[in-house]
Parts: sequence; structure tokens; C-alpha cells
Amino acid sequence: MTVAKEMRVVKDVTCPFCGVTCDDLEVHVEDGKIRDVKNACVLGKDTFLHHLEGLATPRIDGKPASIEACIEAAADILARAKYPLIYGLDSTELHAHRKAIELADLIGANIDHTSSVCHAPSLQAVQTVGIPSCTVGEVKNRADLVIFWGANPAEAHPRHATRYSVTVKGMFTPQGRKDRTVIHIDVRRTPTSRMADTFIQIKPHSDYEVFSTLTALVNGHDLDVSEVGGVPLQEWRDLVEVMKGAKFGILYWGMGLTMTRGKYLNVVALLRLCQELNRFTKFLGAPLRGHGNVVGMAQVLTWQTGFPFAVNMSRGYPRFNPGEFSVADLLGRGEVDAALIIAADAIGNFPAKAAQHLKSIPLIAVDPKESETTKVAQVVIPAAQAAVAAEGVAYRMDHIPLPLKKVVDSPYPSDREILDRIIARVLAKRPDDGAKRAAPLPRG
Amino acid sequence: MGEIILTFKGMGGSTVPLEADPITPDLLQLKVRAEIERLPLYHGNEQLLLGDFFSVKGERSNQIRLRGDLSQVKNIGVGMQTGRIVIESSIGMHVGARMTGGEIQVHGNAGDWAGAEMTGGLLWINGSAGNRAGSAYRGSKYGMRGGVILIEGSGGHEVGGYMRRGLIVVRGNLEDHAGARMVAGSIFVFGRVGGRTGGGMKRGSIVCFNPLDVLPTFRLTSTYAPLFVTIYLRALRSRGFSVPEIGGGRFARYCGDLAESGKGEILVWQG
Repeated sequence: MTVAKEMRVVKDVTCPFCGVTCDDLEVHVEDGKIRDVKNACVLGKDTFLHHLEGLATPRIDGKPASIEACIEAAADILARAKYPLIYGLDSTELHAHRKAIELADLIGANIDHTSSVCHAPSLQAVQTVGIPSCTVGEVKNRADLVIFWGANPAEAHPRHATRYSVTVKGMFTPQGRKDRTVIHIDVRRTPTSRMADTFIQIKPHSDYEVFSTLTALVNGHDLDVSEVGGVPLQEWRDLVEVMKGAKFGILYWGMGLTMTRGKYLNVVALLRLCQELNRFTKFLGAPLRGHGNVVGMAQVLTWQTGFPFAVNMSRGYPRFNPGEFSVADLLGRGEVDAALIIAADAIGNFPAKAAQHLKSIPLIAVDPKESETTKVAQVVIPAAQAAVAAEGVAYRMDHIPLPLKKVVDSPYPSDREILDRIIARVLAKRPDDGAKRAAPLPRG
Repeated sequence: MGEIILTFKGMGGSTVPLEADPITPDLLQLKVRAEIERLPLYHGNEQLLLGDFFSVKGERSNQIRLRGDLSQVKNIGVGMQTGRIVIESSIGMHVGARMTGGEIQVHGNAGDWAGAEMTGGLLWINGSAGNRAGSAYRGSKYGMRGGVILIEGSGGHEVGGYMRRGLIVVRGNLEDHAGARMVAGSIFVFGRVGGRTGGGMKRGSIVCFNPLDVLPTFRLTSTYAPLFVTIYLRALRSRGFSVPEIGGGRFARYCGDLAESGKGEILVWQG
């Protein structure tokens, strides 16, 4: 006997892989399994096609347990912790972010997300000097000069060029690629250099000097030096003329600036350059945000606490101080006494010292898949993967919210539901039944 | 008037930092011992009492002496206006941050943000200071707006960042971005400085006694013997802060940062 196979095509699916957040995917589902994905790049395709591989299982101390028991164990750890950490949240969706912040508020935790180790310096730079920026739609329709700096979108954001920035045809760029000048500036050639008209190779760790030089040249100063960043000054003078001559310029930067010497001050110098160029033409800047919905977490955290990352709730109100409450520093100094890692692989990505501390404290991992973190976590709670098996909202790299669809079913609850159930169990464990989390009054 | 001696009893092996904001002369000088012991301190998300962590000797004094290993204790002397704190060991983050007056002596190293955004008073660190000493908190427009920070050891990154007024003297070395985006004020460094010193500075003076890589956006304007440096060095010696004898040496004056208004200066001692 043959059973009729269930086949369907889900259209306009949003991809959760990178910050380009393509929302035109077509996913072919057969018997609850994804068989094919149309329109996606290779990275997005992999995310959907391999969604059933390497799934995590619920367990406590390495022994299989029910989801219920895992949630109870997690709540136990978090309710007892004095200085817990909630971290991750890049590969999940808006409602899970809200619940994670609610939990952090409830237990007086430090809350940080993957931005902290990628584009957080960009956020700090924006706090310092502001940003002239725009959505990718503006770039598509208007930009005639596109500069990629310290970034490799050809490999990290494969559809950025075709959807928004290089070959796409827009309202005032009807000929697409022919209407745009594309410049790539980096410390080495990458596939992105191949799609650029000009590639300028600078010495590693000289971005700050180059931005400052360009800004000084834009401001009409002459300089005493003959070369900056290993490139003759005349070449920078020529670049300034190209920038000033553009009708609409955009400078996209990547982690080549944020995670190298100078960090946020590199981006400050970049943004000052963009600002000064606006005395001559329209010139904007935008970070090429990478991982999944990491922009979303910064958005949600900012609207709920006022700060984009590295937030501490231990006094019952949010405090912000990167270096003090940011994840790498909290772990590097060995301060936190319990951690909840959601939708991110902390141990697989962190420096050895930070990973070592995570292994030494009670660790809870909420993740659809097995990772270095789930391998050592005391409590593992598998979740339905957001954008594949759970719906929600993600933010694109230009801060535009897009709906995530549920394409297939998962036997496990969503991140949102898991966090909600942990919150309920933590509340049930406190004698005052969840009255506002208040530190005990001074004794005596 | 005697002094209040607070001896740290430790945190029972816990690595969670202790936030000890109430330890300022302004608050303690009005209190008797029992009241001091009942001041609230934060240990992680728990509020406990000063008496849980410190044994208290003395009362009603604006002279405070701290003993024991305090490297995990934050916020000592934050916002203090008057009196004196002597710390006999290394101290955690934010010591003397936002202080407006009085004096803090640290006989050890200080954590990050020592004297951040201070507007007055004296912070004297015998050892080294961390990152962002005398600098601004994230998102603030200005760092230190007055007062003096003396560091006998070395300092970290962005020391004196966003500084608006005041003096920072460092006998040792500094890391990158000393005086980042400073608006005014003076920084003296007797050791070596890292890269990008004075990057983004609008006004102010950074005086270096060792050669450095000046950013391309600074231009050499002159070589001269500035009188104010001699006066500053004499004032430092009279306070007991030993500085090398430079014997009327000459300084190269670099003007910048031309990416900003370009009215700041870096003086480099030429011997």
C-alpha cells in the first residue's frame, strides 16, 4: 500500500542565515522534510536543507531527560545564581529576545549577544559620533558609488551584491552595474575584489590612519607624509575626488574594522569621514552585519533597556558598560557563576580562557543542534529552529523587520516557549511569588 | 579626628565582584560604627551589608583606610567630594570615578575607568592603571573635566579619552589611543606611548618624553622650549611626584588632529 505523499511549496520564505535576510525564498516540503530551496544562496540553502542534521537532545548532566525536567533544572540553576550570564540570541527571533530580556531582568543577570564579539564596536561608534545611514532599498535605487571596506560580502553575504548594492537595477540606477562605481579596500584580495572596479590594498592595522587622512583631505588640509597605510598619498587624494564627485555614496564596512586594532575608533573615524563628505554630496555608511538575527537582538535590547549590548541587570535596573559587562570580559575575568547560552555556540567561538570559565560553571544550552557548547553543558534543551520550525520576526542589517515563517514542524518547543517556561519556574521558586525582583533589605 | 579603617574579609572564594559605592568619606564621616556596618553593598544581584565584607574600626571621620586584597571590589570613592581614602592594595574598577574633590591614594594597581569623568580632586595611583583612566563612560560626551590623576606605573588603552580639562601624569607607558578625541586638558607621559596618540583630538596638550609614531594627520609646526612644561614639572616635584630632570630641553610641536579641528598639540621632547 502506498501512502499519498504530502507535498507543498512555501513561498516568500525569509532566510535566517545572514544579515541580508533574503525574503524571496521558495521552500519545497515533502512529508515534513525540506527537499529543495529556490532563490537562496549556498549558505541559505544549506541552512534549510540540513535542518534535520545534528539535532540536539534534551539531557541533564549528559543523561537523557524530559524537556520538563530540563526546564526545571535550568530554572534551579538560574534562580540560585548571583551573577548569571545570558548570551547568544543571534540565531533566533524577536519574541525569544523579549523573553530573554525578561528573564535577565527577573534574575538580575548580565545579558549580551553575539554582536559583542562582532559588530558591537560599530554600535559604540554610532553612540559616539552618530551615523548617516539608509536602508538597502536606498542603495539599490540611488547609490552610484559603493565602497566595501574590511569586508568580504562576496563570500559572507552572497546575495548582497545582486539584491542591493552592485548589479541590481534601481530607480536611478537603471543600468545596474554600469551605473555604479565599486571600490574594495582591504588588507588582501578576496572574491569581493573581483566584483570591484578598483581594489586598494592597505597595510594591516592602518585603517584608522587612512580614514583620518581621508577626512583631513576632505577638509582641505595638506599633509606632511608621502604615503599612508602603504598607499601613496596621491592615491588617497584621487579617492577623495571620486567620493566628493559621487551623487550618492555608500561605505559598507565589516569586521576587518571592528575586530582589529582600534576597534570602535576605526568606525568612529570612518563615520566622521562620511559625515564630512556630506558637505559635498550625499554620503552614507552602514555595517555589513553578519550572523542571523543579531541586529534584531540589538534592536530589541535597545528598545527595552536603552542599550544595545553588554547590559547588566544585577541592581534591578539596566546598566551598560562594554569592557565591564560584555561577555568576553565577564568570562575572561571569571566573574559569572552560571550561564544560559541560547541559539549560539559560545564555547566553539570564544577564546580559550573564556571557554574554560564557561566549562567550570553551571551551563545551560538552548539550541536546535549539537555544538561545542551543548557537548559540555550541564543542561541541554533542544529548540525548534527559528525561521525553519518556528515563526517570528528578524531584523535585516538595515534594521527593517521581516517576518520569519514556520516551514516544517519540530518535536521541540520554540526558544520563546522554552524561555517562557523557565521564567514561570523561576517565579514559582521565589517566596514572594514574583513580586518585583528586589534585593533583600539590609539585615538588622 | 582619627581615621576609619576598613579591613576586607574576602568573599569566601566567590569571584563575583563586589560593588562598594557607599565607601566615600562624604557618607562615612556622618556615621557611627554600627551605621557604617549596615551600609548596603551589592554582591552580584544580592544586596548585603558592609559589615558582611569589612571589619570596621573607627567612626565619624573623613579619612578612610582600606586594607586587604580589593582587586575584585569596584566603585570605591565614586563621586566623592571631600576627605581622603587610602587604599593599601590593588583596587578594582571605577576607583574615584566622577569624584569632584578630596584625595584617593592607591598603593597598588587600579582597575579600568580609574578617575573616569572626574571633575576635581586628586587620584594618585602608585602602581598601574587600567584602560580608560580619566576617560569618558560609553556614550558620554566628555571624560575627565578637572582634577589630577597621577600614575606611577603604566596605563592601558584610551587613557584621557574625551578629556575636557584637568591633568593626567603617567610615569610609565601608555597603550594605544591615549587622549582619544580629547577636547582639552593635559596629559604627560614619561614612558612610551602606543599608536594613534591624540587621534581625533580637538584641543589640549599631550606631552611625551619619548619618540612616538605621530599620526599622519598631525603636522610639525615648530621646535621650542615651552615654559608651561617647566612649571608643571616643578609643581609635580613639589607635590612629591618625582619626574626626570629635563634641563630646559626643547620640544617638537605637532599640531592636530587635522581630521578634526586641528587645534590640539603633541609635544615630543627632543632632549
